[in-house]
Amino acid sequence: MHMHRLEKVWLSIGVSMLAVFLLILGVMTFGQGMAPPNKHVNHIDPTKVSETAPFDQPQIKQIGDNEYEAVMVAYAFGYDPTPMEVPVGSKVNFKVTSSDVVHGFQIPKTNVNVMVTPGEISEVSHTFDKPGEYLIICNEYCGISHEMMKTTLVVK
Amino acid sequence: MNTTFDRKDGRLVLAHIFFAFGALLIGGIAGMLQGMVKGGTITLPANIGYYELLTAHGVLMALIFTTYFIIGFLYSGVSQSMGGSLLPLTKRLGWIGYILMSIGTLIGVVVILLGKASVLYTFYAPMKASPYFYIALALVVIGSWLSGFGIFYHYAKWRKSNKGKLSPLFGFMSVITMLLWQIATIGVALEVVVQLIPWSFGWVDTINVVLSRTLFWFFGHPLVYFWLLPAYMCWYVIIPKIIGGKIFSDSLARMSFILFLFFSIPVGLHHQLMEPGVNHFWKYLQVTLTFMVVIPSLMTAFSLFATFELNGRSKGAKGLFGWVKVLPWGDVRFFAPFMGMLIFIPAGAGGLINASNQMNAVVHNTLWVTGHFHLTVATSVALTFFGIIYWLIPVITGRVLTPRMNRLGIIQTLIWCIGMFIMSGSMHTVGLLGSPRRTAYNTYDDHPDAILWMPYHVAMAVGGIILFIGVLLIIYNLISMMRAPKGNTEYPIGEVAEEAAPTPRYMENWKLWITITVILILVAYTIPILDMLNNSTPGSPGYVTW
Amino acid sequence: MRDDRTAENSHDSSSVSAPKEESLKGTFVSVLLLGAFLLLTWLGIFILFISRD
Repeated sequence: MHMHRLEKVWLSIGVSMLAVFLLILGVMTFGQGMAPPNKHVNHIDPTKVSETAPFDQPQIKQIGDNEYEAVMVAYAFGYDPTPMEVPVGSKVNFKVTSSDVVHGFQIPKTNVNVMVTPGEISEVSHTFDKPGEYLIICNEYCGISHEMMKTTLVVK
Repeated sequence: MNTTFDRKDGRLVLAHIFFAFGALLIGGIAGMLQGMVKGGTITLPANIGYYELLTAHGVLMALIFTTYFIIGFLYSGVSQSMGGSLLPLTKRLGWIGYILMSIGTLIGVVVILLGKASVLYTFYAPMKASPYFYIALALVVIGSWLSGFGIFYHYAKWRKSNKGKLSPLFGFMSVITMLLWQIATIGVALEVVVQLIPWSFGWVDTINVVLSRTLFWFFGHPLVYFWLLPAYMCWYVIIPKIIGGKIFSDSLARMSFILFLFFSIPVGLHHQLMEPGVNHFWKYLQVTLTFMVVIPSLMTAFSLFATFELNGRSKGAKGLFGWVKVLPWGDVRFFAPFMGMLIFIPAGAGGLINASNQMNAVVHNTLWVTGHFHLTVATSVALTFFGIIYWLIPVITGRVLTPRMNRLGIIQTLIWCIGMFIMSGSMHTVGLLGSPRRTAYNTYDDHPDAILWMPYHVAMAVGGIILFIGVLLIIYNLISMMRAPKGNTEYPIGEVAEEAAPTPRYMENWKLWITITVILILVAYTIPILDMLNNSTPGSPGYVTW
Repeated sequence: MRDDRTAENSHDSSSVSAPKEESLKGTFVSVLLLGAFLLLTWLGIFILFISRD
């Protein structure tokens, strides 16, 4: 198949650019642990969330220096526990599951943005370096009051 | 070339086009109202819900307007370029397909308006809609399959009676488009028939949620290429003729379509990057394949610019960009699709970002994504489709495009571009600020982050109102063209430039192309899907949360 | 008409004896601008991603 010389040059440039993008994303994913959510796949019976540890007791607890674990349940239309509070500089490891339909779990202005699918446990971490009241919202349509589904995390 | 369009074929094409624009009108009303609610400008009466409107808008625009228009357009070009009329069986399949799709659409719309299926056009389980909603979708898909078979049959017969000849580019591209559609819809058909319908009727108690989402996105991403490829057909085959130029290269055009067939299907996981239950190795693999599908678009960009430049040079244009001046800016048949092409540049840039693995966290499920596909399907594709009707309706009805209609067409295009610039621009920006998509008006207890979003939501509503004026004008234009003066309009099918190298024979080696497509799908999906089938996750019962 | 072109003259398609190439400088500059746009927008969001982590 014949190709114009300049088209060959253009495609080489374009394909190289794509390759560089992929390389950056790949190194971050597999080398630096900056991967999309969930390396490991964890399961839970979605109808028995309230009886299954640790989700029978949704809570935020300190697990180390400046490190917290937030075990959370998303449901139509809210999150447990609420409210939550951590000191500035804390790393929070969120562990979220759903007791009904698919929900979202997003903290605007951070990279915390993960789906909460019934039967699965979503894991995502973030270090909160700035004080403030962080909004946590559902960003996946989940029913008639989807827009009301939110909670907050206060960083002091 | 035939000077008149086959009358019976014309009826089939017109039936599809009118149904498409009917869906556009109703979907447009739903879209505008929903934008105004989101902007906080109006409150709906208690018996109409925001999410009902959103479901109707999505289904009518993304599934019905596009599918009907595409089938109508492809049938017109197949009839024109391969023998001058459709074979009897093709025509029959087209009509049966049309009737099935229409029954499906009507059932679907009624179920949505009754509030039995406010599950949006992605109908994610375990939100459980009425079984009749899923049956309606199945009818639409089955109808479109029959129409696709009609095109395959016509193409096969043409090849048989034109042995040794290269098939017309339009016919070849139609076959790729429908082939892509047939393979892609297998995913959603499995989801609907095997999972959703039995579960919705209560024959089974639970559903495998992650599997249902994966089957949906197996279909959901190639769906966007099913919208895009007919627009590319117009850009590759029709536009060169309209500007008085030639197709830059037949073989490159075919090669780009073959690459779309390969790489637009095994990439659905890039819509599921932010969800648990899928190992991130497979996500990354499909991200890589997604980046491959950018390559044919890079090729297309070069081919189109080259068509314009060669045409300009043949008309004596000088300098680096002299060819821009000689393009027929005053001709809506060129101007509307051209604006579509131009807007595909930011649309494509956004798509690359969306598919960038972990970077997806910045934009996932925010209004950025809504802004993105309002550039791709609702501008690049929609404006190209609008541009097509300014010659297709006159060709079919034996009329001419009057200067007045042409002017109204240019105005319609400008209205669309302005409305979309305001609406999609605001969506992109506010999405980066974190505003979620598919979410009715709420200030989250006047949280400062959410308050910051409000002006953008108002701008979206303003853009939406402008776009609705655009919808009304295109409907007016469509109807007016049915009353235009009688005359002869030629179906604009481009010819290949004489300097272009001939097309190699292997371009029509369908067995090879289908085999490669299937292998890529198996590589990308076998293990993730086996994982989903074999894992011990208990299924979910259904919920009606609206 | 191109449709009449048959198999026999397609074998030489990959040979170097292609017809003389037209000037496509304007096309080339246009696609480079497009490439630069893709690069800049991608980098913009990449920086946003890094800064939000």
